[in-house]
Amino acid sequence: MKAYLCHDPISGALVKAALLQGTDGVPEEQLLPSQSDRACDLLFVHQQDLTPEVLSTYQFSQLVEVDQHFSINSFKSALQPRSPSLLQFNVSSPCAYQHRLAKLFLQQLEQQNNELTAIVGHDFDLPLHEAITNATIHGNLELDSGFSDLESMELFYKSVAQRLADPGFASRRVVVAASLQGRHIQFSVTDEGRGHALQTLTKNQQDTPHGRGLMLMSGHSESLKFDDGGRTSKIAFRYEE
Amino acid sequence: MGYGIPKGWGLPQIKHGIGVEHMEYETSASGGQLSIRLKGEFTFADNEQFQAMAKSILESSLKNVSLDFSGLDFIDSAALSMLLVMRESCAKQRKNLSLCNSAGRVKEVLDEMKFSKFIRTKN
Repeated sequence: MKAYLCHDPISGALVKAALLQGTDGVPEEQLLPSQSDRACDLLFVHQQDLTPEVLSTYQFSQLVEVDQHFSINSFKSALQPRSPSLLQFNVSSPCAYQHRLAKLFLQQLEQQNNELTAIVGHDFDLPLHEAITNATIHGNLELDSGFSDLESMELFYKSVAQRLADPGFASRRVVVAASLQGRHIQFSVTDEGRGHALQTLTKNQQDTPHGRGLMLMSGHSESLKFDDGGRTSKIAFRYEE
Repeated sequence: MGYGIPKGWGLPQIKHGIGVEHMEYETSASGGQLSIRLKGEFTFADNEQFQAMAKSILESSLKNVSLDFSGLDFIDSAALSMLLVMRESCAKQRKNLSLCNSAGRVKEVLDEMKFSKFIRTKN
């Protein structure tokens, strides 16, 4: 089921509405009479309704966060079939920046998959967090964090704030997904930036103060690779119960 | 019912990050040393707190500065970069910066990154 959390115009309560295919191809929503069914395949949630309570209440394969930059095309893109995954979050750049997305994703993954235990641990959390940070700041916002002093650091974070407020950058999405492949769990993080050609880490990067995000992504993983011109990072771990 | 898109416009910006445990710090001075104990998670989201902390360090007359990591649960690469910026700023003022009491996954990250090569570390 494809569903959309919205506010009942009569009661004001947050309710689930089913998204139905409209006659002109534009999805329509229909309020569901019962709140007993908390499961759905795809759940759209407005930015201000994305709370820990919503995440713990609903079960879904794919969560799509709707912010002020979300367009009809964004909706249609989210409805496109994707590779099968255990869980997927499709969020805006501001959402990826301001929430502790890796932790939330892993908590949801553990909550929804009884066969996966002890998912929320440092082995997955930090690499996934670094991948999401890279996708958001370097990918979607197209910012390089090569600052060397307090002044340039301050300018960098001001640029981050400016780009998060610029629809041209802020409307870009970050998609986080997890899939099981045998005894491996793979996380993928996709951005909508320009991509990069980086495939491996060089020795120089290990001795410089910056660029440690990639090292922390790969540190505990079985493999780290980049697809889609560098816009998708895939981190695989051997999963042990 | 109407399609949800028009209701999306004009939404307020996210005010509170969920799942975020912002870095907090407590400052104390004793024996000629400025000690700052960090708590919570130290990530890119804490750049404002970090800048405030840096300001208090650089405005202090004390030359020895110790960052106590015993209360930190998580640290990311952006935080490591901020710490290196702190190192540079302290060096310009001839302040001695050190880190101490890291534990758990924070210690693992610092060890993995061989961070003691860049900032004096005591545990």
